[in-house]
Amino acid sequence: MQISLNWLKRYVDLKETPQNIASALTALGFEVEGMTFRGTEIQGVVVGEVRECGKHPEADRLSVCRVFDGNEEVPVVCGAPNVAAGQKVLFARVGAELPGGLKIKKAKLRGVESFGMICAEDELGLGESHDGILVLDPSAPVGISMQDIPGLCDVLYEINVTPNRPDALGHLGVARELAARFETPLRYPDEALREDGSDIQGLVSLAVEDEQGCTRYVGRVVEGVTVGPSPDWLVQSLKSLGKKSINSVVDLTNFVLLEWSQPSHAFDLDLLAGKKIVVRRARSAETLKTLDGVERKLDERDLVIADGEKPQVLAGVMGGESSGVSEKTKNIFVEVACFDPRTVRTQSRRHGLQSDSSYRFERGVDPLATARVCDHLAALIAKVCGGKVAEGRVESISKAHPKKPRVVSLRPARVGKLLGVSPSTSEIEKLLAGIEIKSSGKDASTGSARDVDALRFEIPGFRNDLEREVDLIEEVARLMDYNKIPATLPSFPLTAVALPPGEKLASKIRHSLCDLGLSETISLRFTSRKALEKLILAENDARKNFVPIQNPLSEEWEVLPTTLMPALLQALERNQNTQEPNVRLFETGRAFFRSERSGERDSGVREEPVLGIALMGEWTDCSWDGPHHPVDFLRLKGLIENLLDGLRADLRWEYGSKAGFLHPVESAELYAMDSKEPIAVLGTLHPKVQVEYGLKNPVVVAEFHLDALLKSPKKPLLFEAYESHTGTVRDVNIVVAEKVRHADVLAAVPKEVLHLREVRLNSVYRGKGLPENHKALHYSFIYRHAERTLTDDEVNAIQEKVKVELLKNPNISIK
Amino acid sequence: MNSANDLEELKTRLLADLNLAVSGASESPRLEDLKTKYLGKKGEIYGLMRGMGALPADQRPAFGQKVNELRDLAEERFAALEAKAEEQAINAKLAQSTLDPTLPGIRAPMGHLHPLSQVREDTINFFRGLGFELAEAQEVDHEWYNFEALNIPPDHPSRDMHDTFYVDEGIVLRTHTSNTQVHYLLDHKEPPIRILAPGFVYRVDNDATHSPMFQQVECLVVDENISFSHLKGTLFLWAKHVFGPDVNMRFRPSYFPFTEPSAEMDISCIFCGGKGCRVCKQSGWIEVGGCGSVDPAVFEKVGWDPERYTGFAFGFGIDRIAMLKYGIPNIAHLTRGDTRFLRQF
Repeated sequence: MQISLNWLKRYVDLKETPQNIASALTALGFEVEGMTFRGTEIQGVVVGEVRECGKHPEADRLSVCRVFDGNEEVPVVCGAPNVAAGQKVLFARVGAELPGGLKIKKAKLRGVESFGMICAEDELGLGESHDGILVLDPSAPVGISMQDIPGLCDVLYEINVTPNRPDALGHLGVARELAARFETPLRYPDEALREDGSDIQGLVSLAVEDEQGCTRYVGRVVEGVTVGPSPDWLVQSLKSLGKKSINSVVDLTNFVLLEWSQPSHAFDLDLLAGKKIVVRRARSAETLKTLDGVERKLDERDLVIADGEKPQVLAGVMGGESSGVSEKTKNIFVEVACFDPRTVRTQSRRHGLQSDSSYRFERGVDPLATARVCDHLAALIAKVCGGKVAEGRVESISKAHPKKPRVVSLRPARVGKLLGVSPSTSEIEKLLAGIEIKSSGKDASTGSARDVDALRFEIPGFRNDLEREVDLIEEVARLMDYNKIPATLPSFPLTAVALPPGEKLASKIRHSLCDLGLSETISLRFTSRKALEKLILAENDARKNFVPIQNPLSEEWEVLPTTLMPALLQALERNQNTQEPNVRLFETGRAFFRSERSGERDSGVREEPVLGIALMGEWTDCSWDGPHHPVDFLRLKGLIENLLDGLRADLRWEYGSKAGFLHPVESAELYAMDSKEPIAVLGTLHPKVQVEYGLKNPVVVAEFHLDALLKSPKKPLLFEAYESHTGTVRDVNIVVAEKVRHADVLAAVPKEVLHLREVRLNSVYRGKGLPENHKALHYSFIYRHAERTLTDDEVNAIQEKVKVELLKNPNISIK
Repeated sequence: MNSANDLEELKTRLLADLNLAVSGASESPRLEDLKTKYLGKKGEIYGLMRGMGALPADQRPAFGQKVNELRDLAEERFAALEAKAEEQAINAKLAQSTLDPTLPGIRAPMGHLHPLSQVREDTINFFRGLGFELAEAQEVDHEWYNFEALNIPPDHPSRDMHDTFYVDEGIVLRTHTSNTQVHYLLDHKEPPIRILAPGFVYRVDNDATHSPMFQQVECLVVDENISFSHLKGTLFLWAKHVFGPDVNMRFRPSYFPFTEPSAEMDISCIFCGGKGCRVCKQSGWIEVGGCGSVDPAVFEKVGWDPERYTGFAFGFGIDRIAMLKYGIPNIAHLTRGDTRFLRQF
């Protein structure tokens, strides 16, 4: 909401600096988000008189003037077409600095000396116009500074008005707050009303058929008006807030809106069929062409102001074209009403039409000031446009509409309990009286002991948001200034605070993976059907059970993700496109699945914490010293093994995953010993998915369900005795066909070999000296006795037996 | 033999040989050869000892002592020269290194914790230290927990502050972490309550400072005598922890339907120290988050006695704190997964 300082000064005397006023507004809860100075900060610009004006000898478009600035007469070269002798102008003396940093200096323009500048509106920050110099009223006294010209300079505040304070959507409401803060009186602007026209009853009739939608309606008639351009003060007032002048009547309704925060509407009375005003719901198939030129289809939900035939106004939102006030209008009907906030809000939304009126009605207007504002507006119209105000009003008031100020009780002790600071009763009364909340004495109506000391306050209509004791306590705090309430710490019994297990696990995983060289990413929790389809998931994959968003921001963000894969793969692609080919990312996020609703709080969406890992390019990229290994399944497997060791997770590996986005061979699934659903899947990205996501370098990925991981068994962390005797090592080179796996070889090693502690794979060799499609696995068998060093003979004997057993397997040969 | 003269002659010869050995001349004897020659088991000094039997018994002690002195001298000299030679050899080896120490270090892979996680963990640790428990609530929730229970009725203008994503009739992506308050107060009826609820929230919004998904941290305290003053004290403690001991704070009135009184907390601009700059739009203050005393209407909705219990709550954007703390200009950096961004933290 824009607030003009000049405008505020109509209602309150403000001697403080504009900055102090801004601080006060912010401290009162109207955060000043911006300030615009219109000429107030400029030094050295005064009213000057153009005494002579002649053509420049060397330039057609320039004039040479002699300007008197109150002290002396100086030659000034001016480029404006409208400059003329005898004008009073705004004259920037040599030394003045204009907004934008222009410094006025003595200058020579095409050979003619110039001592100052005659200014246009925009050059002084007073407006946007650069059509020519600003010509002042001839009565302006020469030599006074521009700030002393009434109404010329202004300060505009952009204030943030919270939804509970519709009263501050008008200057009067803001002025009231400042008057309270600076302890000066507030002047109400009521215009004196003279009802010298005919009786309104013969001129117009009112029928409010929907009292729920319209709780209060007041109308007046002004006869014999002359609608035309608005007077300067009105144009200037509206212009300062960026509102265009339309005609004198429309401008006055806008003026009153920005003054009292009360919307109103003016009809051309002669265009109202049957001279009737009917407040009702629209009938189906009725239409209304609103002032913005749009033909709107109405239905039974829409509250309208109709004449004897058809809707003329979408109530509280916007007027219609057909009965609007124009220069031809002679007789005016003005409406000031209270419409139901929800009705206005829903029909404003339904028609996609927000207006200054609907904004205020949604938030609520003063229910007790309807007639007062109507009288004020009618009087203003008569004053500005001539004409006579008809005698009396047409009006309606519903049963539910408040007729007198609400009374709210306040217990002073409760103030201290809630705020932690206890102002005295008289302080409370004084603070509230500042914004016209009057004490009406002690609360005698209730007999309960609790309320013995309660005070009663009458709440003025413009503060309809104050309904409860706590609302008044907030007012007390606000008017005291929040910053005067001391900061203290509460005290509590000691308690042991542990992290929830899920949080602890996720945190441990994040730190482990960072230690292992991965970086954490956080993705938006939105994805698309297309991105999920690219994962070529199996028909029965739970990841297909996604939840669409009804009002997504874009197609890319249309569903909640069931897996982190799309987000991670997209992040890889973005990195690839910025010449970052080697990337190691992980994310602990959430996956969302459509589920059967069970229980009251279930949203029908199951949320699961998940961990995603995606590695791309080279593993050893941080080293310049090669060799550089591309990421592959085994490196991912090793990483996962490291992670699981750190978590002491005891999981079962199954090789080959059914997850569609994984390579069917270079992949694995992890299970808790007894579980059917995998806790994790990991592997090389399926080549098709790789292509779909536009990834050029090798990619491996993994995904964990963290709730399942949390529930899985853990290896206990207990000391194990270790033998102090050195082990004896026997190396064996086992040659097998490619299809024989390391696990098959291990399985062929007899169980429970005496003193055998470990079979360690050292290398895998392919190539020279081996049959085609074969590989040599080089193992170390490590033997160790618990109490002594084994002799070579002992070990050789055992190892021979092992070899014999191994060779019983037809797939194995020993080199 | 075995006269004092022989001994003197041997000493002179030993010293001369040693000098020659360290002279570096091409014909010079090797130190280890000299050591064998003089101090070896079959060496000359032991030779003198062995020959001592030929001396008259009364001369033996004096001569023996002299031979021992000579042996000690020889051992001392050899040890010193060996030590020196060893050091020279090491120095020579050190000087031979061709390594270029200005080459970049060969690093082990290192990961980076996301700045949002760093702020989140720091916040959690701070409040755990004060005795706050961590609470969590669903991100997809019924409107009632996100709005109505927090005193935000349907079709109310305050909903304008919450542009909401819907996944179903009446089912929303929560617009703030405050739904945690509702779930928690429904489930836990034993005061005192001190909870911290960090989590993701969603709004239909997307520009340089707004993301459709962002992280908030919610804090709720309920007991019999919790005041607005306690809210200020707790928040000021936290702000000093996050932004340093010199930061100034102010509270200004605001409006949230679920708190009363409601406030916004500002801190003195950490970029200009409060003098006014581009970041704080010349105001000297930066908005940190909203807070207030728990509105009695909320207590009523969740079945707590508002006459007996009071409390405070606040909710801050973790993204906002991280952006302020690290000077991140655009919120979109936080969710792009760009390694050039991530590795800075």
